Amino acid sequence: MIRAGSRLWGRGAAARALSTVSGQPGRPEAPATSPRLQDAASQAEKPPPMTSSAPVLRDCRLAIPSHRTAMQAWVESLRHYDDRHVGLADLHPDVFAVMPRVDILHSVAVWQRNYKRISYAKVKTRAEVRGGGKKPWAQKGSGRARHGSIRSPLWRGGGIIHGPRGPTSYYYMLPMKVRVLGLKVALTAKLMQDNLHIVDGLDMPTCDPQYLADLAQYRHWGQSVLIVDVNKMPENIMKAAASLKTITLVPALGLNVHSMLKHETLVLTLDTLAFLEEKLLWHDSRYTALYPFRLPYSDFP
Amino acid sequence: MAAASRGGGPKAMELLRALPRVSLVNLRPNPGAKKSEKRRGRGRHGGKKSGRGHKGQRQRGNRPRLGFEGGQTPFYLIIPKYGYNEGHSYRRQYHPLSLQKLQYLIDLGRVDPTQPIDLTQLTNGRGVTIQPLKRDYGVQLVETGADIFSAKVNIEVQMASELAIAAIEKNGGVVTTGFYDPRSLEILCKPIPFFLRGQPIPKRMLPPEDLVRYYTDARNRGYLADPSKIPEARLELAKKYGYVLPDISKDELFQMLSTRKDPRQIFFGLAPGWVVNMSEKKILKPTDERLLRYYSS
Amino acid sequence: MAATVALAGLRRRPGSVWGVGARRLLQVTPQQNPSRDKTETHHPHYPGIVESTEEYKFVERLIPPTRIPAPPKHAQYPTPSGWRAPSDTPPALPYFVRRSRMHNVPVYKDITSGNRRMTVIRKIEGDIWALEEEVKEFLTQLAGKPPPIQVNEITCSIRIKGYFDNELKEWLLNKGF
Repeated sequence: MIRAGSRLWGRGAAARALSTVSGQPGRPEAPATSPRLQDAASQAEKPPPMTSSAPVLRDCRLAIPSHRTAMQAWVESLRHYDDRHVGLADLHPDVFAVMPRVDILHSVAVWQRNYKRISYAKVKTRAEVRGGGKKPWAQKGSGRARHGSIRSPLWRGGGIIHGPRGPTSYYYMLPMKVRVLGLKVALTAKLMQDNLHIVDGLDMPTCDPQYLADLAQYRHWGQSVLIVDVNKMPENIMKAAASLKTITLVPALGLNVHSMLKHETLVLTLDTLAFLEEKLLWHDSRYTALYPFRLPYSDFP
Repeated sequence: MAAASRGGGPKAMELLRALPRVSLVNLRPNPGAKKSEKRRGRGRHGGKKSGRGHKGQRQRGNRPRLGFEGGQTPFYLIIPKYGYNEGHSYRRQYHPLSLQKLQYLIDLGRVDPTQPIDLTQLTNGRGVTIQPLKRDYGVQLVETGADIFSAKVNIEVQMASELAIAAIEKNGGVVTTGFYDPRSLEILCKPIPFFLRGQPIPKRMLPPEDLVRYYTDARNRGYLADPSKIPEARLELAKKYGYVLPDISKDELFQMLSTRKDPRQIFFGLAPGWVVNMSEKKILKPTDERLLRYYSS
Repeated sequence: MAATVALAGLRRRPGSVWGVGARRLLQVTPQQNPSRDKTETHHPHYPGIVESTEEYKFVERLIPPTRIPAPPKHAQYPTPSGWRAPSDTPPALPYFVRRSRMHNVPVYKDITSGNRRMTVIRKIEGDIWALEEEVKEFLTQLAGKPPPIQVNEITCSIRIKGYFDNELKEWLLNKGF
């Protein structure tokens, strides 16, 4: 425990020293694992090479409050190993820079585990255990302790008292605003800890799984990667990711806190950014529902 | 950003950069947020008596019923009955809507004063919540904020106080009080779920006998009152409160201000008997003689 | 539901030539196309209908919005109801208090245990301790002695013992929040 803590402390200090060396606070990102620090430091000292002549610049479509500024992230590409700085994307601060409420993350993650859980544990009471209707011996005169049934909980093979009874539902619902805040906090944590990567699209030159695995390794995407897209996924990446255990593809509607925290790196496309910002910011300026949101409203996003 | 590192989000995000990766294994609730429950009957921590004291009805929880006084005639039987609350489950309730709140809704753009306002517009702006199943019969306009009210509206409510009527008419507005039976009220408050049911819009029922007098009185701006008597009543009220009644017939919004519902009509512009098809954005109107006769007022 | 099904069925075969009801329907809506499917029989009890799209604008007015509208620009503040818009440029302070989703200042009264009266300021961004100092100074002038104040950095809120909601709302409004 102590050793782990000291290692983490050392890493944090190194990362901070790195950001002061490069002169760009916190960006480009320092990698998460220590053996690659040297490598990344040498990369970060160089100015990032722009591989494309026309850089991708992405603005927030939704208005940013006047007292906040947009967050920024590099846009990468999957087309080539070295397409690491294709452009810059502006991220909405109310989605990608909210207060990091780790307690909210905890409650949402616990809810995701539990709300669909059904416990099937069940034991038999003395009434349900077979037999035991007859009094085993007379009340008096035998010299033995008085007993009325051989299935009494005191007996071996008898019923169980206060045991788990039947299928138990653990269903509960967190308020919608808490669930939405959980998504925002998870995205913020991924961005702040340099585990969020923006790509311009999921087009790849080949459907070779090795290419995708090498790309993730080359870019220090860590042990596991969650790739999110709102559009239909291209064939190449679907084929490549199908045989890779550590790379998961998820449609944007299925993005959730559990998966984001389970995977080390989160990869979002530019369209997904727009989709997520619109969906999540809608909750900041919405009325309570008069009737379920699946029925028509005049401006449901 | 560097200046604001004392408290708040930026400081927390700086911390987050230095901390290990937030993942499923290191999540935990805030310190002090959770308290494990005390397991009664388990040894030192509330074992033996489990906090229920020593013997008797207190320990076993078989106390006699509430109000039982050990056998003597209890208090609740000594005092004779009196029907203070008799019929409380049948009494009509009208939620108060103050002029202050109405002005607030208009100021914030939640209710549009350039359109006739009825309960649908008020519930859509989330100004009032009406529960017909809880014996709500609509809203009453109350006079709080009559001095600050300055909007020109055409509003239909279920009841209105005299000063509230005066405050609206002083600004050149129009008030109508109208009765809705519970079914029409439910449809009026939540029209879309009703339209999706595909039923024809019903005709509004007439008020019960004890409300007929209220709604036929021009002083209350009742919807069943003689239309020719309403200008007289408006003038009379203006004299009483001492203001000059604006002439609404010369107003540019005269078309809107003069819009009224038929006594049998629930929505503006939609007649009873019509079916609304929301998926095809169409309205189906009956042509059958008997149906037309039934739905006519 | 039955009515929709019936009417939908009716609409699908407008000009079928079976029965009396059909003829009446044809009389009512002569502009409609001749029938495409004559195999289906027409129920004589179904009444005729006229379709219309003109009045649908009255239905569109009834559909509720989900978004809270942005407040319109007023000529002068406060508006008749007493509402004030935040200043266009954020005030030059180390902290910021954001408006609630209903565009009000997020200062609320709270009561627990029946008599523990508190005032809560929510949605504080930036340096919450600077705000706490200023609130303390303001309330000391107001009440004569500093009230107990709790600062919750995690939920970005400040709790003050006692009801000071109206005073604090006015104070924050004057600062431009």
